[in-house]
Amino acid sequence: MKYLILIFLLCGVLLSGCEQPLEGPPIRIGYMNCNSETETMQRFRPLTAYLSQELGRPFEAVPVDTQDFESRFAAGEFTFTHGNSLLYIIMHENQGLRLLATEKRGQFGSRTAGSIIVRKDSPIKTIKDLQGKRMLFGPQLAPTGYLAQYDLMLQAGFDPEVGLDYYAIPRGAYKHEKVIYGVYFGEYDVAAAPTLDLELMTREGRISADDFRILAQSEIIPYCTFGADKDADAELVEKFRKALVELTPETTVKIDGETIKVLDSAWIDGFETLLDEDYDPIRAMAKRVNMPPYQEF
Amino acid sequence: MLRDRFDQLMIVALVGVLIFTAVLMAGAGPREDNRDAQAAKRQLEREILHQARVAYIKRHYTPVITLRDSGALPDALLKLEELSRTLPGEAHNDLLSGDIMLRMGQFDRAISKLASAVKHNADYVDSASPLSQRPLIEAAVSESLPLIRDRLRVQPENRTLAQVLKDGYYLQSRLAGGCE
Repeated sequence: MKYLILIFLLCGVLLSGCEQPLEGPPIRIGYMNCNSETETMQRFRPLTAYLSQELGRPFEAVPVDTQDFESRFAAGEFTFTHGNSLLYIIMHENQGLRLLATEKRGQFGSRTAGSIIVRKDSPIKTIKDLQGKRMLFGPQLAPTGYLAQYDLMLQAGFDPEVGLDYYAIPRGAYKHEKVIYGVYFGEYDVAAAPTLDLELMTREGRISADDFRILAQSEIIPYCTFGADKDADAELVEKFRKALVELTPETTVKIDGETIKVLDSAWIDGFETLLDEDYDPIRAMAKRVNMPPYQEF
Repeated sequence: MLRDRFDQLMIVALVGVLIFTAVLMAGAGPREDNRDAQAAKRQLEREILHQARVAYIKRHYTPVITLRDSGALPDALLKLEELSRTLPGEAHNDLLSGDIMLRMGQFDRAISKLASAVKHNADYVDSASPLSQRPLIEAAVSESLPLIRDRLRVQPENRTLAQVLKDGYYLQSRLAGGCE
């Protein structure tokens, strides 16, 4: 009997060093592509592995283009979502997406803003001076790269459709950076730049604060957001949210034999649980600009 | 014991050394005028340090302060971001950031930044220091804490806000004269 107990104890000690097997079918998380699928996977593979490890369920990262996000979510391709705050509102209104946690990054934490920028030496001093000028915007579904600036102009009594000589959205990846450089190199008179991108590019020394003037900055609004399908298991959803807000800069995960810092890898400072009503300023902007999910024809 | 003259000489020398040591020890305590000189020296050093710090801040942060005072708050924050590259960990960066965030109505961020500034440099809450920023910090605490408490009542599980509240209490305690 004594030997039997000893054998059990020994097995227990040996097995405790092994990784727990992940149970159940894979659960998919749709991640919005900022620039490319490769970049999305590099950023979010460690976070996905961390969630699998913490929840004991196999999670799978799915890179998704912004324009396809809602239709792919509606088709049931993924249970959890990570995308910009306008996408959250669209899917919350149309598909009942539940709010989980908001990403923290940069000076305003879980919030950020949109800026209208000109070169420091530009004669443009106010939004009214944009009459007849050439402007560069970020992608159309970008809350702080398009929506916020469009709204700022409308609020100032300036209709960009009528007042601007010409406006464009850059093609391909790194649109926000192209927008900023478009003004920097004088191709365009004015640009719609996310405040966070200005901040990051300045911090990295790629641009200087002295090169630009911020003509106007929008209200501070929630940043990228994690959401969950309304039909997802409530206990799983709560565990998912808890795992996100418990992340610290020191949290690591092992991938391919390498120990990786989860937040660093995902370019995230942490997560905060916001309230759905914190997103109301974006709803108001989308209504004024006639954008989804409130678009009327 | 004292068999020859050499032994006697040694004893006399030993006693002499003992008396001399005792006299030295008795007179070794700090004399009044010496203490005053030390205090004056310390005061002078402090003043020189403060003057150097004020000049340093003026040299690096005047562009930020000019932008802030002209109402260009986002530009001022961007300039601070740039300065954080050349002056990483500088407390005045956090202080100005907190000031600008407060003016922008970002109370939670303002409190976190101001707490970080005070943790790095206690002069900001010292009313006798030329670097004192007590009115700013008092205003931030009195305006922000009720709002943060209200928000936490609605959202008690918000860890970020709970940390901000802690930072607010830290500032309150430092303003009241508490130590680290």
